[in-house]
Amino acid sequence: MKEAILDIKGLTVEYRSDSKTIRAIDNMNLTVYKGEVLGIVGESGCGKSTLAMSILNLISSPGYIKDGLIIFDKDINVLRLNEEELNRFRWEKISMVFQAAQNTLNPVTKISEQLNDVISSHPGVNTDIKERVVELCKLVRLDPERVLNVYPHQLSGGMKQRVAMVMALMLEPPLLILDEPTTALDVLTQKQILEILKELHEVKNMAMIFITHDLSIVAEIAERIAIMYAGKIVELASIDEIFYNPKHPYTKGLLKAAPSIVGDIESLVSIPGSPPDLSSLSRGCRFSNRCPFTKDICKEAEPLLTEVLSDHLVACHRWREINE
Amino acid sequence: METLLRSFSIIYKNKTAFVGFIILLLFIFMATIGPMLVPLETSAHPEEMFQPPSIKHILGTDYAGRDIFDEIIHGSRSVLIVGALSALISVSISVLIGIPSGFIGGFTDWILMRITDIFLTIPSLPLLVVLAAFIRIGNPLIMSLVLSLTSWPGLARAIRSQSLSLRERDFIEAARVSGLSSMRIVFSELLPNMASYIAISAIFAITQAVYAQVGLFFLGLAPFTSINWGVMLNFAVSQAGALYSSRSVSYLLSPIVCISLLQISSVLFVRALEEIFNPRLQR
Amino acid sequence: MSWILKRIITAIFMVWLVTTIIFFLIRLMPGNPMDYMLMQLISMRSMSVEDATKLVQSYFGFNPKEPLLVQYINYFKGLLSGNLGQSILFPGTPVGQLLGQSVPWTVFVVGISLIISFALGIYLGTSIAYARGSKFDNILSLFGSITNSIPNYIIAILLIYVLGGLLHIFPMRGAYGTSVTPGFNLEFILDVIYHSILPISSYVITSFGGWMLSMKGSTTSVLGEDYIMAAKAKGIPTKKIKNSYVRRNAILPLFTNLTLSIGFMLGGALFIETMFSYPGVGYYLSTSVSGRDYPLMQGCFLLITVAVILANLITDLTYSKLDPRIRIR
Repeated sequence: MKEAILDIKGLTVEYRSDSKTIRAIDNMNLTVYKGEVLGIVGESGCGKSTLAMSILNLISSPGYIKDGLIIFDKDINVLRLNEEELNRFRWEKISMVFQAAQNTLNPVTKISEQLNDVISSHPGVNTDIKERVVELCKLVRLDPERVLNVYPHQLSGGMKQRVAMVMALMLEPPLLILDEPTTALDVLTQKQILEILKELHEVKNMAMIFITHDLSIVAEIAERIAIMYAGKIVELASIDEIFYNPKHPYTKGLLKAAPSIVGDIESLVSIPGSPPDLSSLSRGCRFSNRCPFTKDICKEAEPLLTEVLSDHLVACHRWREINE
Repeated sequence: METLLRSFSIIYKNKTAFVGFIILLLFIFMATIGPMLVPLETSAHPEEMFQPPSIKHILGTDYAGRDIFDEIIHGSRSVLIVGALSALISVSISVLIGIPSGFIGGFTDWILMRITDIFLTIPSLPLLVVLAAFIRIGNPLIMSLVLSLTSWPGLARAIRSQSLSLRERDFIEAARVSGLSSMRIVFSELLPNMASYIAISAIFAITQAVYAQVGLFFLGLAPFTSINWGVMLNFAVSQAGALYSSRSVSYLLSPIVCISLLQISSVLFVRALEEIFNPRLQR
Repeated sequence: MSWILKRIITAIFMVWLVTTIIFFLIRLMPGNPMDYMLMQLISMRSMSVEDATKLVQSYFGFNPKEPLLVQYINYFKGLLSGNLGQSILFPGTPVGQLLGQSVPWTVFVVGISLIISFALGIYLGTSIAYARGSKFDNILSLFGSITNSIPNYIIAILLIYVLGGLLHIFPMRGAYGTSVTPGFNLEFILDVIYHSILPISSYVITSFGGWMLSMKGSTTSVLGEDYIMAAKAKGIPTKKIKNSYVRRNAILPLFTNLTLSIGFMLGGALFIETMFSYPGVGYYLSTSVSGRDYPLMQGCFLLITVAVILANLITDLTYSKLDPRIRIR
């Protein structure tokens, strides 16, 4: 029925800085299915960008992947690929649209040259790439004439973001990762980009991982959502379940903290406290120092992801009591 | 006090910078105390010329039988004094021009920078040499003035760009908003933040001055008033024919080693200073 | 387009300004050499005022007796027609001729030195940036700092002494040997190259370190940029990233140093050429200063300054070609 395109098992990523070791991602398991849009939501520092980089094995010193398995399409062991294989794998199978795309383009070469760099690095991919690029430009509402023969600084922020999307899709990868693709843009452009993404998903039907800190944005496009906190997934469910039936106190907190444009003006409730220091983690649940429902057990043992419903997982000891 | 101790520990940790620091201290000691401890003979002993290093003459003797070690010690004073003085004048001029230029901006900036640009375009060494032809450089003060005349423009530009970037920073804005007069802002907010930059620039100015003055003396383009490493080099090549024979090797190499060590240790020390002042560079 | 024009006009303006300054320097300095010479000729050689004036005029290029403005105009007329006066040290030889035959030598040595040290510095700088923190990096960086701080004339002395005087591997002076006939023959060309090795080495040894360390810093900061990581994510091979993405971006900030470097090297030619008795503009400048040959001094100084202005102009224009962000306003 649902086939997995990406299987992450037991992923642990650490950063070494001076004498401290920071565990950015802790023993994470996650599956992404073909053609689905998975949202990953969490606040700054929770490890979501680190997760994105790990999938493409882009983590570099002072960071390193301590443990874990990343299997693509049941077939390719990503972390075991050698340099040549990795170069082919990247962008052909998984591509990425980075945060603040303005900085991800080489400032001194024309867009067309950068596109050619991609093409020449992946020989053997379909030869009708030029047409595909033009088609993609139209899909993201860019005029190829205007956009291909210029330098990055001659484009606006929104245009650069869309060029990055064209670049990410030109090899037609089955999985696209988007790391905060709309954060650096104004609200109107954000809406435009989201619409484009929805269209792209409909037309191309690739799987997408949409990383953001903004629950309201991801709601427009995601089918499933994973809530991340301090390097772990604390809740994983379909979008309806997350919004209408959240079980984890953190998820509930996030929902309450987002203003609603319709209905009564309820007072915004922000989550008190701040995320834990990832270099000296205590034994229990990482959210316990900020959680209004903490009990002793929360400080003793780390909660594992347990099933609430068949497609709804939560990592909380007290989820049942809290939601009576 | 605590910052001083912290600075010392940083210098100590970085081996090369530490070595540079020590050597620099040695030279300063040599220039200040040295000449008082060691007498300089001015009379010639032709019978003792070009003696190789021995216990009596640690570095040997020169073409007139004088002890080279003594000459080195006395020579250091002139080199360091001119270097330090010239750097002082250079930095002062640069600060007086650079800070108003960057901080006040507008027409002041424009006119000051035009003047600076003119001096910047004229290559400093040729200018130095031409000035040396016209002006009788009789004492270290005049030498320092002439040297600083050719080195202040580069520094002024750098200081201007520093004050320009600092001007935009929030704490200056805050000071302005809280009603401090411009003068107060410059002295109590701007200068302390630039102190490290100015100190580092000053040391570079010293190395530049040493390069220029030794070169001038060496090529005989400035008159000799007192013994100086550059003068020793000049004599070694012209009077002692040091390049052609090996009998005066010590006379040639002693000033060379000293000059090189002085420059190298200054540069290494500056690296340590940069680390101290910019905590981000610290490991 | 207009930016280029502005730059060129600024350069021309600077040239005019400098020549004017030099004019006033000679005229108004204490111990004015022209008046001095005039007096000497009149009193010691009992020349008539007119004859003495004419002689001084032929030496310096302008008539000291006429009003300042007229002198200034004549001076410029002379300059534009190539008349820079007569040399005192080399009687009968126009300054213009001396300069004309010395310029190629300076351009040759300084130009080659600049190219070699720049290229070497860039290549090594990129390498140590990639090998950051390794022993290779530490040793080379230290070596570069050390060689960069030693004055270039000192390295010249050492090279002359060891490789010339002691080991007799290289010649110690001159641009070419006395037994060789100048001209476009192979023997001459080889001899010129042979004689240029020590001077060029003096420059290169003392300046490659600066380029190397600058490039190291610039490359290190480029390596931390997002577009480098994005390029890796796109599967672009490391070699291509190094060349098209890293080097092309890292080299840009170094161009501001290039203008300074050219000025410094042309000024340093003074020391190096004198050391090697290498007949370039620097050599003539220092000789004219020692020998109080004011016309020649004036000409050399003017030439060096104009060369610096020109070189800066070329560098600016080249930089604008390389960094597209500058060009298009």
